[in-house]
Amino acid sequence: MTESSGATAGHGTGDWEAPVISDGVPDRCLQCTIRADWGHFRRIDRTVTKQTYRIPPRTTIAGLLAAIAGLDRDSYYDAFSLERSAIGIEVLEPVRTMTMPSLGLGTNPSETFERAGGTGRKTVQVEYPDSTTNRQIHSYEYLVDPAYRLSIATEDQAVYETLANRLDAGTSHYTPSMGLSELLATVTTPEAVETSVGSVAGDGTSVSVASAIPDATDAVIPQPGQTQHVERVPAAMAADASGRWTTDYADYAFAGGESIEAAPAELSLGTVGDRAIAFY
Amino acid sequence: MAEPDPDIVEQYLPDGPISSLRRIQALYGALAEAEAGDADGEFGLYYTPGDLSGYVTQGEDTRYLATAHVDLTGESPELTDVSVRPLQPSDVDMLGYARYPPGRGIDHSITHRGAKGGSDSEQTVGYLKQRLYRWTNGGGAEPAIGELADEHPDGWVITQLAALGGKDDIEEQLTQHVEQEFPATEPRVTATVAITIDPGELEHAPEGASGVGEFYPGQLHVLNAGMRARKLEKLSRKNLEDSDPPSRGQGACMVTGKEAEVFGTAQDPLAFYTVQHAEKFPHLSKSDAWRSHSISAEAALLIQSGGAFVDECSRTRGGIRVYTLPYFVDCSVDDAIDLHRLITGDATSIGDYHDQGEELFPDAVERLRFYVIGVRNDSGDINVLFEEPSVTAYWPRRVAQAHTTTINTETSTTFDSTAGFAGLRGDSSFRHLGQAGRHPNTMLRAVVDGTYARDTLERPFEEAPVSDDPREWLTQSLLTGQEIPVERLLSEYVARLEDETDLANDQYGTYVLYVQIAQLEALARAGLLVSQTGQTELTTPPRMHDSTTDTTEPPTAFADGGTPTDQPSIAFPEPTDDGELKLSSLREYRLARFIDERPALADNPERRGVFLAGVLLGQLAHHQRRNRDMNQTLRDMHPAHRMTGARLSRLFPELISKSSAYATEMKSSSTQLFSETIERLIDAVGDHPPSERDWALPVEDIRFHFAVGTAYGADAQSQAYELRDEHRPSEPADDA
Repeated sequence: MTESSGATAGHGTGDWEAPVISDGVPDRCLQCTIRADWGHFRRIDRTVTKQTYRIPPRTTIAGLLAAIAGLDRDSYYDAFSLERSAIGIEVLEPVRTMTMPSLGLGTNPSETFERAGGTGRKTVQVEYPDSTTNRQIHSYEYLVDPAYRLSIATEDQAVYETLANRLDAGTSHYTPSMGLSELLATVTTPEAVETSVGSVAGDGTSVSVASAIPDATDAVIPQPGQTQHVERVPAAMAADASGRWTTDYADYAFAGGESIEAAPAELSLGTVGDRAIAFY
Repeated sequence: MAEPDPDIVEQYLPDGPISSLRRIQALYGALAEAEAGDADGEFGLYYTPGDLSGYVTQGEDTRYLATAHVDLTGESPELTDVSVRPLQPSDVDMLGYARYPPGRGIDHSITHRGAKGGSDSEQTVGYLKQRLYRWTNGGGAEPAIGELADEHPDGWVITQLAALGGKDDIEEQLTQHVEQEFPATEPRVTATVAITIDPGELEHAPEGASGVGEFYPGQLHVLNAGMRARKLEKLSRKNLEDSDPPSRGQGACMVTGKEAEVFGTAQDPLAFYTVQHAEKFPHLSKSDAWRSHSISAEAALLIQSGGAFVDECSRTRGGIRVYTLPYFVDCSVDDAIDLHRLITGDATSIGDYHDQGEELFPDAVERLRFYVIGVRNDSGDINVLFEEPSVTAYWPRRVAQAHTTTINTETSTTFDSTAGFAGLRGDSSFRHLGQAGRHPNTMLRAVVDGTYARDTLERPFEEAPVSDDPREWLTQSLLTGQEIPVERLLSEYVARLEDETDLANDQYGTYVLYVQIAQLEALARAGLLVSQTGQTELTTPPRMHDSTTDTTEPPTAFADGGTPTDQPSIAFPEPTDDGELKLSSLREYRLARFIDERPALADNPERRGVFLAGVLLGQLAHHQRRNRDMNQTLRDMHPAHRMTGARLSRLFPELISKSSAYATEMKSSSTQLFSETIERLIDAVGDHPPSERDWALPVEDIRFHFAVGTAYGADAQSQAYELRDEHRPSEPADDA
């Protein structure tokens, strides 16, 4: 897939300089589109049931980009922190969800796991779900034909460069997926994977924003007949030796496949190609 | 219902937009606290005085407060007395009560509720001893309170109580005091302590205290802090083993967004979240729950407080618990108080909420949104069947209005003698079609409660607990205005028709088909249908003739760009010389008009052919039953749900030959019976005789429109009679 964009010429492989982000808007960014037949971004307020967010949480996008770049678990939160990175998310298709039951093996170690081999102390022991027990029905809510275009900037030179090289070459270190490992995603990029970010022209009162509007839902100007979603998702994480935790949540407003009119004052807006993107 | 205190609403209303279910739950909690009016102060959210309402003296029913009076002014703590006296409502505030729901164990506050069934003096002594010994961590069973006692500047108060509770003869002392005063009955008992203390020795002096005096738990900061510590310990330890570390840490609260101490194991009144699902999440570490489900104590408490209001906004339909939670995205204090009036009223559905909202806050009602969740709870196995965070009344009302327009003979010919079906004339008891179908409010209810979708679509998973139930798919689409692919709708319609058909008993699912016809047309009128194969004529609402007007769509919204006045008018038949209207002419008029008004038939010759083949079959089957007394009619032999293009091609010559045979039999002047249908049928498919035809229509399209045709044909004669009665020549035929 090729998308038109204002390309920044002159980059060869390996020659990518990390953008500068001021007031939340980068001077340039990488672009890619992720699509899949199905998606599932499990909501954090659910364990008994499995509903999905309509928009991938910013933390999930960071994880997806880290997978493409091949970064270790827990190593990339700083590169995608709110201070050092800016991400714009466009929801390209109308949001459609479907709930489906699926059968699975239980994973409770004390109930449905089998062990084989040695003691596990000096000799190897393997643990696996007992495949002879009854399957359990779990119902999942899936996104149908989800597609998102991402505008990505991080000031972390190494991460930016690795990611740019991967996207430019059309390769990925780990397999990209739309939330769950079995929901494979395709990643496509415009011919020039990096593009400059321009300022946003407008009358100062209203701008048609192509991306979801983060953390400023009161900037949204409602349009008759337009179905707007507002969703609160995890936005940033931090980690130490004990593990990782959520450090920020953000409300995203979006209308699947359509632009949203918004007051520009509260947003970190930049122009990518011919589209106004709200970065967060 | 008390008006909520605006100051408390202001204090606890989440900042920013109401953008998640958790924030709605917290908003409802803020309203519950504001209604109770006691959430002021540092510990306000923790108190649950409402849980003592069954323990205060009411009328002749006496309930008792047993108080251990302790003196902490001397060298060592001393039990001076135990009083057992009626618990008056005015006493409740000073008790600082906070309940811990599980039946076993003790309450969070040192004040404790005894057994619901009543307690005797022995049990009461037990409660009092536990206040002094167990709650204070005397035996090490309440480490959170023990820790607090070590850290709090007034922690010595708890330590002293524990020391008193640990005395060998404490039980004896308590028993002596209690037995003197205990009533003969076994009343409900609340047990507490009252402490004589010098406020000068406390870092946190009791409010308004001037000198040595006796204070109850609600008045002493250290006892309240102990209560809070115990509550927070429970928040972080729910479902954890004793050996597990607690689930708490520093992070961003998912409700407030603020950096705070967050907990991972907060109770969810909806029970969608627990930390025990190891069978679904391999290697789940319950102690790490705070990392992803991070919630501050305040938000967790508000969510618990809001549980009752959430429940009030639900009802059960068809085995599914449906929560319809009204909210405003941008919610001011005034908005929140409006919401309180709404959710404490009778309404539980979008239609009712909207009606009441119009009365209570007409200026704000258009901003009202609904968080709709459908839950199936099969003995604790909880499944969310659908969940729509942002529903407005707009689409359901629009669909309801469009349906009403379709059913009403003033505005549509679909169920009218002029052109349409008999419907269930005279029987107003059938859902969606009789009188009920003409009232927008009744239909609004049917749309939002799901019966509108359940009465037309396949019910494939009656036994299974969860599924992608097409009926829920349609209901969701109607709630949210999501476009509905007409191809899928037809396919689900046909599947349901097959379910409804019982050929052995002459059941053709006619009622369901009528509702489907009305629904399809209503959805087209509401602008919700979309064709994935470019068949826009299927998604275009009927064009209207004459005086009939469509009230939901502007008259110019026709596929061909025409307006009503541009439409060729079908001339009403002239009476014959003897002044009678010929039935065959009326049948022809009706058929021509029905087709002409409907782009799905008028603009697609092939579908028109399918429909007309159905009409002819319906007419012939009716004739077979009526005039030839046949049990096994053509309709039984060629059910619509088995129709295909190939079968249709084979059926065509059979219909034609039957028609001419019956014409001969009836000594008809015409060579064909129902020639008005046959002429149009041949016209529709004439360039490709059906027997040689390669049908392009998808099979569900063929089946549905064949079914529509069959039902139309079965009604044709009786509707023509009806029309003749309405247009007796003595009356001017104003429709002509």
